[in-house]
Amino acid sequence: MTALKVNGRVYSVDADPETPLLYVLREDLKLNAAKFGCGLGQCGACTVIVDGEPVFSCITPLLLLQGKEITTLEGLGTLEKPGPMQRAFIDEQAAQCGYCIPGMMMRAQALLQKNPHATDANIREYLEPNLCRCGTHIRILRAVRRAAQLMQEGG
Amino acid sequence: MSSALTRRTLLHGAGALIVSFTLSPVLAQEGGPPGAASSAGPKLPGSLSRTPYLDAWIRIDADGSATAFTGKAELGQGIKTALLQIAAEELEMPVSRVKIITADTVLTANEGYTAGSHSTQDSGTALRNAAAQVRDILISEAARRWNLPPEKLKAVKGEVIAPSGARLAYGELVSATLLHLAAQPTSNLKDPSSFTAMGKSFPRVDIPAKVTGGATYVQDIRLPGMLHARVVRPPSYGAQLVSLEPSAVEHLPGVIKVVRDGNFVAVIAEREYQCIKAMRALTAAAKWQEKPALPKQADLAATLLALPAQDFTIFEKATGPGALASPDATDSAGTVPAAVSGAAPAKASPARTSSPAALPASSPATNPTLLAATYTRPYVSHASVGPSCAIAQLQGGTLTVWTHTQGVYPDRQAIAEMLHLPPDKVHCIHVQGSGCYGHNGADDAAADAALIATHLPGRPIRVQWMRDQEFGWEPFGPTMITKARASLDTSGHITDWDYGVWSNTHSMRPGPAGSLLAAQHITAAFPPPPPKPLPQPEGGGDRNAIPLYSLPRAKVVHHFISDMPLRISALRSLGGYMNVFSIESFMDELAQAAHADPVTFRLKHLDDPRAREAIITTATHFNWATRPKGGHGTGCGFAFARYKNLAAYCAIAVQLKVDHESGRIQVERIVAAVDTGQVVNPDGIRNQIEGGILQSMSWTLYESVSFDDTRIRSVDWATYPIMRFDAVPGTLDVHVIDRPGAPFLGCGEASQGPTSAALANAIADATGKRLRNLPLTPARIKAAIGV
Amino acid sequence: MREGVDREGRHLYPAFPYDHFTLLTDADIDALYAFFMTRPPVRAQTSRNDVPFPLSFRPLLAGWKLLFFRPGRYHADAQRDAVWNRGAYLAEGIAHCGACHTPRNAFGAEKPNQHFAGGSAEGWHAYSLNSMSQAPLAWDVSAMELYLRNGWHASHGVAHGPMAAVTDNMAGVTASDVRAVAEYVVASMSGTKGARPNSLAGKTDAEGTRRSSRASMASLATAPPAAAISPTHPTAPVPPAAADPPTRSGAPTPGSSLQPATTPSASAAVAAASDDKRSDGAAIYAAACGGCHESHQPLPFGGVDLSLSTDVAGEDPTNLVHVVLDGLPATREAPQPMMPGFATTFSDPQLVSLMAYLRDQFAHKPLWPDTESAIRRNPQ
Repeated sequence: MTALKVNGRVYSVDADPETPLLYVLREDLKLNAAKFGCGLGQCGACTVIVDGEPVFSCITPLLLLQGKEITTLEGLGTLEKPGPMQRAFIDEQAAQCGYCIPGMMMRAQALLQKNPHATDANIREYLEPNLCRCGTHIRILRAVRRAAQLMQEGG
Repeated sequence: MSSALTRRTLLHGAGALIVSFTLSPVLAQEGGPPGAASSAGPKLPGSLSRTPYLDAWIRIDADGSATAFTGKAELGQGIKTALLQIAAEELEMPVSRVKIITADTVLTANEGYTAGSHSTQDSGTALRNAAAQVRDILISEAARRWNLPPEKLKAVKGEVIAPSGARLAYGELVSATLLHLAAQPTSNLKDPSSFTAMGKSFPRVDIPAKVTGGATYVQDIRLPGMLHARVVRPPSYGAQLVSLEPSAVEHLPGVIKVVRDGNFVAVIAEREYQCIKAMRALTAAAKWQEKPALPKQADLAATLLALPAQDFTIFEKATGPGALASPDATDSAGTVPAAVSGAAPAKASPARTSSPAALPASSPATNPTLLAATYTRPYVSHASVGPSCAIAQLQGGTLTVWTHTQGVYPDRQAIAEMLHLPPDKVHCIHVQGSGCYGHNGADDAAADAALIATHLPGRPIRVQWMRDQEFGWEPFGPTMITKARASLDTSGHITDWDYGVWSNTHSMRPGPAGSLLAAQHITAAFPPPPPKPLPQPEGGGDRNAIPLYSLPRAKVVHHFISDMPLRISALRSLGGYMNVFSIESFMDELAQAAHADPVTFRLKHLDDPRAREAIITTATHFNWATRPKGGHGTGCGFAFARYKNLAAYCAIAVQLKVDHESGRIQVERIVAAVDTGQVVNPDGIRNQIEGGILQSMSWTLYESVSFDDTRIRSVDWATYPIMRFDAVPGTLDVHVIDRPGAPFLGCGEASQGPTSAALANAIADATGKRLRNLPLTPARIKAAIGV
Repeated sequence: MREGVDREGRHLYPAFPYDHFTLLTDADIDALYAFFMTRPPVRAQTSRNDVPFPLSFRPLLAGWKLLFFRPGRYHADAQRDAVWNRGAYLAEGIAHCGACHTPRNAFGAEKPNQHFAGGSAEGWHAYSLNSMSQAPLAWDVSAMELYLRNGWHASHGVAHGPMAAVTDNMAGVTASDVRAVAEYVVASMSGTKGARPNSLAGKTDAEGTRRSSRASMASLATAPPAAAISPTHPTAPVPPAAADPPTRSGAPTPGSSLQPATTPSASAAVAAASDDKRSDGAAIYAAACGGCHESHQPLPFGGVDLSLSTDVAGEDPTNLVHVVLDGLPATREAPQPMMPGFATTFSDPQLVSLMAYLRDQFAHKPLWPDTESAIRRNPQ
């Protein structure tokens, strides 16, 4: 049994400690946002935040996560009460198929938590590990800038 | 009529009973025998022609909410929202009170595939008309009850209102049979000036759940007792399983069963990661016999040209004296004036580029300028970010499949045939996957899940393809070669045009079981069906091969190649991408030979007013007339096309920089204009056009499938790189031209072709070098510009 | 270029490798000048040196040159063929490989008796290119050529750190010149000559014996042959498919931990009683690394077979630390190996545990003694 702290709650997970976090999130904790895109750390669709840093959950096994704070997209807000990052993506309609978007949002969240005044160039560089195949990049950038604004307004 | 009600019916007590559904699955969902419902009389609009009963499209519930049914699927293109807007508009209901149900072989009409940018045209038109007619039926019913003429009544926000102020809600007006009527050929459609939903950028109904962790995708489905499965695919096309030692795998933790049927091998396990580990072990335990059967990648164009082809002349106009010989005739025979030797056709070899043709200093007035060029495109991958996934469950004799296929009905048919089940015992339900951009692995994953489910009846089986399986087994966008020849008179008009395109079919979709990988791999294998060309005016490899320009003499030939060395099928815009790349690159080459501005040159040859307006809109917003002069690594390029010569018009202008040392390009700005007829959701259109532009940038500048003589080698994002954030343009502006009242024109595939040519034209403007072989990589650009 | 002086005649610090460029022919220097003059001029402010006193006293360099620098053009070695000489000229001259790959003395000069014995650059280790090479699989000329042109080789690994920039540049060099350099370097690895051509000392390398790791090549009999899959970028020639690693057919590969009989959890459980570090490392490897490094697919897919990696087998842990923590950058345009970084995933003890496992499992060697300090040195 492994104790896992996700979105502020502690869960007791009965899974092989080698299991990558992605499968634990989806299968054991029934969280949908982090996605399987490649399982190779190449596309970022599985990105979550661990102790403030963005991490590919598809290649991060449980046994490395003792005592760490994990945040998924579900931890940023809900459908009824979306957080600033979520509101920004809805306002900017920053999605086509939407599959890459949770990973993008978590990576951007990590950036803005560290650098609330990130410039467009900062954001572009920081999001480089995340792939979008539908071509939503420009909207994603606008949404992240908007999220930064909302966060600064205390949103 | 009670015998007619299907299992979809929900009856809530007496009184205000609502639900009106179609008579029988056959008539409602399959569209019935041809002409059954509209036996005599004009064709019904859109998909109504196949599925004429109104209650196959619109349902009104007792509580006053409405449900629209569409046979089309949400692929991330926003169609759910657009169709909701259409239905709500004509129904005179707030969008928030209308729900939509998509592609389901039990619940919705059979609208074939969600493809070809047809959804708004076909399903949108059907829903618009059905909704308008349902609204009028409800008004008539109220008129009947009040004994008032219907013209005096108004429908507003889900109620019918009398001049006296009396109201009847829709929920009170419906009955079990009220809407069970065949549609009329014409409807009272609302005037665009009165629109409250259509034409507005209504927020997409699927986005909120997607950004808050809602269960949206097929990958998110969790069913009681669900098990995980992974397929062990052969290492290459045609590989044969020689031996498999499954016993060690069967004893791994969590493993339920190893499935083997011919070359189809899979493992089922309790938990997902257990299944992945078992898959890896099973892969190591399998021995395959492979044979080298793939062409040499470096000689791909020559290989394609050497394959037998059927020639279809798809366009011919006024062949007369002075007409050109077709491009595949030996072109070194003295038809090319010596003065234009710079215009010799480029060989179809990736490393070569040609410099643009120059007009001779003094050419006799009667000697036309002749240009020829050959363009090539490699295989391109759909490269969906989320590898394909499906869930299937065989229960009580019925097989249910949750899948992100673009065509639930054709996939059902293929799966039923593969498993020797009657089609009505297979229920395919569309659930969103990641963007598919055409025929990717979705249908095959559905077949895999269905097949495995039959080995463990009762349990839902979830199959998730791995990254390298999606890359290695999806059907690619086919490699293509085009050859263009044209002549210009001294006034700079094109006088002759000759164009040939060499290509495989662009669709190997199910339909037949043999289209499915699983069916090809099992012992009782189904052979792949023979490939067929898709007929004009839509076309496959020849889509958009006929230019929209006014040409006094022209000939276009589609060289249809049946042999498919690599697995191929439909990729967004089909042949349109490559044909527009070729034609619009060639137009620029001609413009340069005529010393004409590229935009002016195009306008000179275009009569279609909507085409002209799209071009002028882009040129104006781009400040084309005052753009930076090309050279020293800065360049601007322009391109235009009307998708399929039938759908949306799109004109694109690009400004970019080329780094001399590396050949890398940086796109500074892009401006696009699009005319999609009646606008349903302007922001949705912009989203699609932006997406198409960026996707096409990636195809054009980076992408090609790589393979050796036996295997596909581009199997992950390292071996098949696509565009990342560093290459995204500085700015991208899309201008939507609204045409109130005009028919809907699909826009999902309109921007890919023009983007590719605009980039090639901008690179030529920046460097003076014309690149004709896709992709336009930094290495190729550097090789062209030299030191 | 030849003498290490600027326009005003002041001595230059050998950070500018004139000790190598002195070998160039007049024609080549003229050509370089001509090339530079065709580039568009830019305004760029040269930053000030921050060399500490007394080294900042330039005239001291005259003494340095007296001790360590012999100007002079390259002279061909008559006992070697034209291709080797071309390779030597390029590698020792313009490519100045020794500037990184040769260790330096306390005065910052390349040690003349340890030509290509390994050095450092910008916080990375430059592996030995002489007979002390720790590459698990011996390099041959065609492998080296492919590596230099493409930046990676399926049987050896990926160029990273400052070497990535080198191979980026080599991609634009003519094939025959790359081959010549490859020949020269591979000949050096065969250890027949220890001294640098035209170098100060005439002595050869003291030791000429091969290292034990090379002798253990027999244990790598199932490793892919040297002529492995080359990159499949459209403009690169695609060679005929090399035989794939025999693991495809089920035979176990050394280091493969995902075969049914030797799942990491099984072997980890066995080892747990004896050595905590190793069992953790095995589990981390299986879960975080195995997806790519145990894929049994040749580069650039996934990850290199670590039993072939010099980073694991080599003399210094620095590069392995860099790669594991920082990864390899996402592919730009052309197919190329990439790797995510694990800096935010592993704690230092977890990284040590993983590295101990890798050293043991793939190189059959103990952990480097300076592993923990290498980890601390890695900039985050």
